[in-house]
Amino acid sequence: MIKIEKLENEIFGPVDLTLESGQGLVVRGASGSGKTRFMRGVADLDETRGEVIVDEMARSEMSAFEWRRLVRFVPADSHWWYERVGEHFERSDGLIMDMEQLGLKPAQLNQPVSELSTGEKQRLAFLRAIADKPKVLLLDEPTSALDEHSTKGVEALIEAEMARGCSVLIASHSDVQAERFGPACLTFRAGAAEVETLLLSGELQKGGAENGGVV
Amino acid sequence: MDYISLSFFDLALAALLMLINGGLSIGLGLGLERTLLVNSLRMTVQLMLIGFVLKFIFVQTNPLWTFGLALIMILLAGREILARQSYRLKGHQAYGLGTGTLLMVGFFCTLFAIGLLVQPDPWYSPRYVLPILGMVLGNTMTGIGLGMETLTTSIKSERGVIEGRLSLGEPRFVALKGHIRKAMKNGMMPIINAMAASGVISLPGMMTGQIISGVDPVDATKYQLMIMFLIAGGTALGTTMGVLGMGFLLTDERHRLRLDRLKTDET
Repeated sequence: MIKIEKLENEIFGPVDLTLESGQGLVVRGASGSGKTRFMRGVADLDETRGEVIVDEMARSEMSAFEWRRLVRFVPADSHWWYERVGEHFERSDGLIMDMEQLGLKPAQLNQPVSELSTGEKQRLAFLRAIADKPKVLLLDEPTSALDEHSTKGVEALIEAEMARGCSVLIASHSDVQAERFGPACLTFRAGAAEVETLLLSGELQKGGAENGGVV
Repeated sequence: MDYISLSFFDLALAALLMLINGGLSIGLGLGLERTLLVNSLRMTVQLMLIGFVLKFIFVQTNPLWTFGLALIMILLAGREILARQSYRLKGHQAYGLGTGTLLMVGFFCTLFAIGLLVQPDPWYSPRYVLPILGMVLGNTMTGIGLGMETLTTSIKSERGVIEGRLSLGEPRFVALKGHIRKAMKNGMMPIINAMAASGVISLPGMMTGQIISGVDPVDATKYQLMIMFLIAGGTALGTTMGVLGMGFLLTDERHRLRLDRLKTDET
């Protein structure tokens, strides 16, 4: 469970939000409305006022790097620091299975990062982010560089993460994605955040979903 | 000691060589005439001035004169470090980090040389303290400045990588490890290269000076070696402190990257 209390800085907020374990929520809003900055703020990569609590553990009482092992921000553009893909991972059977599910070949672990396509890098960065099983995932447009097939694969893995109890926030411009992980969503307009419900008509209605405990 | 003193007429003759530079600049349209003139005048004035200042301080018995000049040298070297940075920190830390590092390294190296190696009488004898400090400062300054410059530019250009590593839960100095290593290497390379070249390709200035002034070449070599070791040690110490200090200031206690602490305008 993640509980966000009056989280704000110069760019966004204040945001109050509670997500149960295993619950997902789509974060919507135009480019520049504060979605990314909000997620960075939750991960403590940017300075914020307010408090965030994960499973009774308050962010302010933990060191920041331990916090980021629980609360994982995954940016839209992936970054790599070793020469080969595999050096960024600890090899495991689970990793190989997940790679195959996303249409990646295990042999790609031996490939230099520079030879990968943007889409391959995005999928691999997602796998890298879930490898140590964080309790909260903050995904910034996790399928922005992917085709429909790979998008479905990543979405299935996001659901698998939720099934093991991970709370997931997904910044997305895609209505399909919003429906899949909705109906509740957090909408940003010029930094101000509001919980809304996506109606079948595609319109947004104020207030959270009745089920699911989004506050 | 028997050495041949130069007259001001000799100097004027030597300065005539600058006409070659000037002629080239005009002939090839390099546009350097003004800079050449200003810089050679500046050099002449600076060196003559320091000559007279040293002459004055050498006859003073009060060590405060020595320390005063030492302090001024450190402050000026600190300014030189700042001048070589493409991206500067905001506020007093911009100047403070480099100068503070020089202060510690300069004092440590000079006291080490004076107290344990040369042991002049009195121990604060300006004839030994000031030239040793000067050589240590001149070289460590380069290492510190280069190391800090490498670190800030590489952090700035690889912000995504560093924040990517921080996002995965790495502490700040783990996330910065590669950048710090590269910066320290860059800072120390000049002195390491100088050690390999000295004696074969170049005769170091201090040794040359001592030999001309009549010192036994082997004695002069020993002094030069001591200075080289001092400089190498001081550069290692100073580069480490400067680079780690910069890494510390460009992150915060919540292990965030703080590029907002750099001035935005490129200088």
